[in-house]
Amino acid sequence: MAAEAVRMLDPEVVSRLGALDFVARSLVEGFLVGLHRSPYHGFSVEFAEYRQYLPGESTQNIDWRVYAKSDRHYVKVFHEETNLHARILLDVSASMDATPEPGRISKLHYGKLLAAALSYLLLKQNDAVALATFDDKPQKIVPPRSNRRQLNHLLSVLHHTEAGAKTDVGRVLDRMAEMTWRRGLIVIISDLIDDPDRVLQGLKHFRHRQHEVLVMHVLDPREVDLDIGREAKFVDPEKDLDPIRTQPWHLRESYQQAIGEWRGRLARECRSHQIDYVPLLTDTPFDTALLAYLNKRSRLS
Amino acid sequence: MQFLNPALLFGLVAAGIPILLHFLSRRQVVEVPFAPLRFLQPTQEKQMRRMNLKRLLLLLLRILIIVCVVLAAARPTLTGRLAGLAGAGDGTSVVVLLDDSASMTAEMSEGTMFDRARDEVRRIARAMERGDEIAVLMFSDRTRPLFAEFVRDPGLIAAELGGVEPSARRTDYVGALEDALEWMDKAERPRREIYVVGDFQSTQLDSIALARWRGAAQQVTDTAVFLRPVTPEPFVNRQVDLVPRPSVLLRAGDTVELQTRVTQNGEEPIEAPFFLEADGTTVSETELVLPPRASARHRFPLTLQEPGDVGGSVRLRPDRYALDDESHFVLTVNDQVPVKVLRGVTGEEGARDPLLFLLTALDPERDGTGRFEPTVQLANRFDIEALAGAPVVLGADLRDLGGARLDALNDYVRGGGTMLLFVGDPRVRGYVNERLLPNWTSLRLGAFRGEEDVFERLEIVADDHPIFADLEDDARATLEEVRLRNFFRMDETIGRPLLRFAGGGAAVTEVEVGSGRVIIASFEASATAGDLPFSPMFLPLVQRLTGYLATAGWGRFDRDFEVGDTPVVEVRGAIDSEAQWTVVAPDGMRSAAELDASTRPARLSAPVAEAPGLLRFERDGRSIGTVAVNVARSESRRVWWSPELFRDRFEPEEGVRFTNLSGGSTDEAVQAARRGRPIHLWFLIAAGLLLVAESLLSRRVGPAPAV
Repeated sequence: MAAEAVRMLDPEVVSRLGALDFVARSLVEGFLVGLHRSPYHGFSVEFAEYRQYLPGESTQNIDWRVYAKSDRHYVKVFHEETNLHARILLDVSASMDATPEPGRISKLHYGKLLAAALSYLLLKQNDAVALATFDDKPQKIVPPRSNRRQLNHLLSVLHHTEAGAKTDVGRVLDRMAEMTWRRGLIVIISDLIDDPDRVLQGLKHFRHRQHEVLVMHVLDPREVDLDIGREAKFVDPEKDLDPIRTQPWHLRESYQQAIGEWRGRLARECRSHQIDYVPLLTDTPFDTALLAYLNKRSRLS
Repeated sequence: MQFLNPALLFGLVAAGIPILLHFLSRRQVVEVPFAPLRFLQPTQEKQMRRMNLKRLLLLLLRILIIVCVVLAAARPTLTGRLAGLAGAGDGTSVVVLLDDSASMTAEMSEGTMFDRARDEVRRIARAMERGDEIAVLMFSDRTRPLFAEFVRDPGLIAAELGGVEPSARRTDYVGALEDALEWMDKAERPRREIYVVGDFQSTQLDSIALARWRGAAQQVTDTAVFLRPVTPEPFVNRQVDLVPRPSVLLRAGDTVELQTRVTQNGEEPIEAPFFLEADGTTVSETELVLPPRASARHRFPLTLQEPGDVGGSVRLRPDRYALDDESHFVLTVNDQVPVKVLRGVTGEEGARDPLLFLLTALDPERDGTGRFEPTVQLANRFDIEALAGAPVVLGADLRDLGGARLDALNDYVRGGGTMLLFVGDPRVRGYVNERLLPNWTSLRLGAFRGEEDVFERLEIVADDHPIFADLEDDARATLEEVRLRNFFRMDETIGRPLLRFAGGGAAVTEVEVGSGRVIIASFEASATAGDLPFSPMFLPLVQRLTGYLATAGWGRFDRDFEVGDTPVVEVRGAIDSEAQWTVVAPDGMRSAAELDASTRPARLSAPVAEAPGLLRFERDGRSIGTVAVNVARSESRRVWWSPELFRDRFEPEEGVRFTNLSGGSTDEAVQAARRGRPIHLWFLIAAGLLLVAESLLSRRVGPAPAV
C-alpha cells in the first residue's frame, strides 16, 4: 500500500507542491484558523517552520522580526491553517480512459495523479479531503478526513480505481451536490464529455449550495487539435455513437472550431458563476499544470 | 497505334498498384478510441462525401499517370490513317516488290508461298497512311506492275492482287530493285520506301548487274529498302534435274539412254515412281529409291523412230513444289550430217596425216554409212559456194588459203556457220596466228611444245558443256589419261576453254564469231600428237565436237529453254513468204510465231514462254521443230537468304539503306520501318499534366494514407 502510494505521488511533484500554499478564494466554514480570509482566521494555528519567501507570494506571512534580525525575508509555515473540507470528484468513465494515441497518458491516469497531488497538498494543510469517483453514477466515495492515514487511504482507492462505464456527468454532479451539505471546495476532474447544458447545470448546483468549485477539465491534446495523420476509424469509447471512418485532416479545421466553441462556452459559463475552470491537456506536464494553477490561485488570494 | 517496345506494355500491370494501395489502405485503418466523437460527427459526413470523390479522382489520376508513363516507354507510334490525321508529313511513295517467281508456287499448309506474300502485301497496303501512294511490282526475272501508276487507295491494291498468280520464272533481284528504283521517278511524295516481299530464294548473281545496281543505288539518298521475308515451311522436295541432251548425233533407229537424275532434300530415303513420256505417251516407268539428301540416277532407254524432233518429259508425282517434278526435253533425230573437211597443205601422209584419224572418227566404216558424211577438199582449192549449206567445216593445219577463200570462210562463220579447227603443226602457226584467227578472235596459238618424249595430259575444263555434260566418269577418266605432245598452249582466259593441258594452257577452246562459232584444238589429230588418236575417247570426242557444231540444237539455237525465254528455232531452206508460222503451246493453244528472215538461217520465235512444257513450231500446220521449256532449277534450291545476307549483297556502301523487317506482325513491321509518327511525347506531356493535377489535388486531399 505504502509503495503504491509513493508511486502515485511522484516525489518531485510533491516537493514542488510543498513550496506553495493553497489558498481558498471563498469563505469556508471551519473551526481552524489559517491563512484564509475567514471569520476563523488564526484559529488553532501551530507553527511548523520557517522557509524562505518566494517572490510572488503574499507578504502577509512574512516574519518581519526575523527580517529585522537577519535582513532576509522568511515566511512562517503553520501545520494547521484551516479545516477546509475538500471533495475531489474524479470522472472514471470509459471516455476518460480512452487515448487516441497509444502510449500516451490517459485522461484517467492524469486525473488520478492530479487527485493524489491535491489530496496530499490539502492533507498537508490539515484540510479534510474526500474523494468520489463516478461514471454515470457515483462509484467509490471516501468520506472526508484530515488525518495522515487519509492520504494512504485515498491513494489506495485511486490506485485501484478502474475505468467505469458511460458518462453522465450532469446527473452525477446533480446527485452529488444533493449529497454534499457541508460547504467546501469541490474539485471536479473530468473531460466533461456530456451534454454541456446538463454539465453546467450540475456545476451550478454546487454553486447554488455555496460550494467553491474548481473544474479541472482534462482533455487529450489530440482531442483538441485532432492532429492525427492517418486515416482511422474513430470509435466512441462509451459505445453511444457509431464509429466514424475518416481522414481526420479533412475535418480538423471544423472540428477544432467545434471543440473550441465547446470549451469556450464551458469557460464562460464557469466564469459567470464564479467557478474556476482550468483547462488541462494530458501532454502538459502534470506538475507544471498544477503549479501554474496554484500560482494563479496564490495571486488571486 | 503501334508500339516499338510492345513488351513494355506489360508494365500496364503497374496501373493496378494505386488501386491495390487504395484498397489496402482502406483495409488497414486503425481504430482510434475518441471520446469527443460527438464533435466529429456533424462535419464528417459532408466532408467525407466530397473527399471520397476527390480520392477517387486522385486514384484515377494516379492510374492514368502510370498508364501514360508505361505507354510512353513502349514508344507508341501512329501509323495508317491516324498518323495522317495527326499530320504525319507529306506522305510516302511506296513500291512493293512482290516475288512471283517459281519458288513462290510451293504449297504451304494454307495456300502457297505466293498467297502468303500476297496477303503480306495487302497488309502493307492497309498499313499505309493517308496521303501515301503505293505501287506493287511483281517480280521474277521481270517485273509486272499491278497498276500503271501509283495508287492512293489500298483497297484497289487488295482487290487487284486477288487476280494475280505466281509465274514459273526464275528470280532476278537486281532487275527488280532497279525497276523499283526506276518507278520512284514517278513518285510524288518526299519519302520513298521499297518493300521486298518474298521467300528470298537464293539465286546466282550477275556481278556486272550487281555492280550496276550498287552504283545506281548509292546515288539515291531518299529511298529506303525494307526486307519482309515470307518464311516457308520446311518440306521434303524432290526434283528432277534437266535431262541432258546426248552429246552425239542421233539417228533414227538409235536407242539412246536418257540420263536422268532425281534429288531430294529429305532426311529419309524415299521410293518414288518415276516416268518417262515421249510424244505424249508413257514409255517407261520405274521405282526410284532416293537416298537421304542425295541424288539417284536412272537411265531411261528411248528408241528413236524417225528423223525430226522428239519431245518428251520425265516426271515424278508432284510434291509441294511441283514445277521441278518434271523435266521436258527434245531430242533431234538427224539424217546423216555432211561435213566439209578442208585439208591443209602440210603434205603429211600415213599415220602423220592429220586427216586420217579424223575421217575415220567421222565415218568409222569409211563406207558412207556413218553419222557424218565427210567431203574432203584442199584448203586452197575448196568450193566457196559449197560452204553455204555446210552445217560444219572441219579444218586441219590450214595454211595459205588465199584471200578469197579466207574471206569466204570468214563470211561463212560470221553468218552462222561452225568450224572445227585442228592446228598442231608448228609450220602453220604463223599463218593461223596472223591471218586466220585475227578474223575471229584475239586468241592465238601460244608456245609450241614439241619435245619428242614429253607428254602432257588433258583435263576437262567445261564440265557442264553439252559436249561433256552426259559423259560418264569412266569416259572422263579415259579422256584425261590421254597424253599429248606437239601442241600449242593457248590463253585460257579467251573464249571458252573446253580442255586444257595439265601443264597449263587451253587445249580446246570454243569462241563465238558473229552468228557462228569455232572450236580450236591446238594439236593435231594424228600420231604425231601422242596417243590421242588411239584412245577409245578419240572417236566420241571428235563426233561430239562435230555433232555439237553441226546441229543447231546444240549451238546458239538450243532446243532447251527456260520459262521467261523467247523460244526460237531455225528455219532452214527457202522461206515461203505466204506460209503460216504458228507455235503450239503445251496446253494446245496455237499462236502466231514471228519469223525473222533477215538472218541466215531464218529464225522463228514464239511469244515469251510462261509455262513449262513442249512448244511445237509449225509451218502451214507441219512441225518444223520442237523446243522444251523448263523451270529454272535454281528455283529448286530450297535455300533462302537471310535478310542480313540479302542486305550484305545488295546494299550499297552509301545511299539506299536496307532494313530487315522480319518477324512480328505486318503492321509492326511497317510501323517499325517507318517508325510511324512517334507520339510518346504526347503521353509524357499528358503524364506531366496529370502529375501536376495529382499534386494539386493530393494537397487538397491531404497526405497519402500510410500503408
